[in-house]
Amino acid sequence: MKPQNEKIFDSRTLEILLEESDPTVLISFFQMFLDHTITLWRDAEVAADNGEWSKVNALAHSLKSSSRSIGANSLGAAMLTIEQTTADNSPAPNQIKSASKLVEQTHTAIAEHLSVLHTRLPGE
Amino acid sequence: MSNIKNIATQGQVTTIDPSTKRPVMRVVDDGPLYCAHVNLFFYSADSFQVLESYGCREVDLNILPEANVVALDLNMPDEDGIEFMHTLAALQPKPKLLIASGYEQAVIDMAVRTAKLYGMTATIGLQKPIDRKIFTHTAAELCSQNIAK
Repeated sequence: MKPQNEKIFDSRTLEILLEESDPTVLISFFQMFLDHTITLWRDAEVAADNGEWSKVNALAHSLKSSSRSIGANSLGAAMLTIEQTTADNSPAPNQIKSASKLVEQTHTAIAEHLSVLHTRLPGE
Repeated sequence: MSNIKNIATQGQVTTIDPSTKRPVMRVVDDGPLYCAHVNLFFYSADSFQVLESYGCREVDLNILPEANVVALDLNMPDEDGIEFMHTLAALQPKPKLLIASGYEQAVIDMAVRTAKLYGMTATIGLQKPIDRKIFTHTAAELCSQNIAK
């Protein structure tokens, strides 16, 4: 049976890209992604509230790449949609709203995976 | 060299370690996660010393000529990669260029053509996300190319 969150988050992607299975290394990369995303997404929400759609466009582009690189596929797709919609400075309030929910779901899925990785640490 | 477990948490690596004779790769990318990826790619390969700049304006132009390969993002908030190619093209010798971007392949191909028009003949473009095998293989391929001065 496939994990429920696989569409939102594919936990194998990072291991495959890095060719690395050390749980300590993977945990640090996932944690870095979570910290990075929280900051960038808050900036994107503020920029959207202020109607700064070109700034939203740049932030969505950055989040798209980092999301794809750790297997947050749905979030990567949502960021692509925002990037495309705001490319000519057009507003994308509905996409921002649905992406905010997806950011939360992605964080939950990654947090669950981090719990699993912690059980693989030496001495656990 | 840093411990492999600390690569994602060590912060930026910005200065050349004179004790190593490895060629230098300068990563210019606003994504700290991607910079950490590249550092990890070469940790065990031991083939490049990787320096990180989270954007074009962070690059120390005084030590930029010491970079054998520049891994360049295209979309960055301070100055985009295409603009930064002007700076790179003015260097002698011109660095070898690995363009790595989340844009679609057609945009990356256009950036590669632009770099070649600027005289950076040793340029390869890759679309993110990029796995370790492809990235290290491409960097090695770039290093093996002779460049016109």
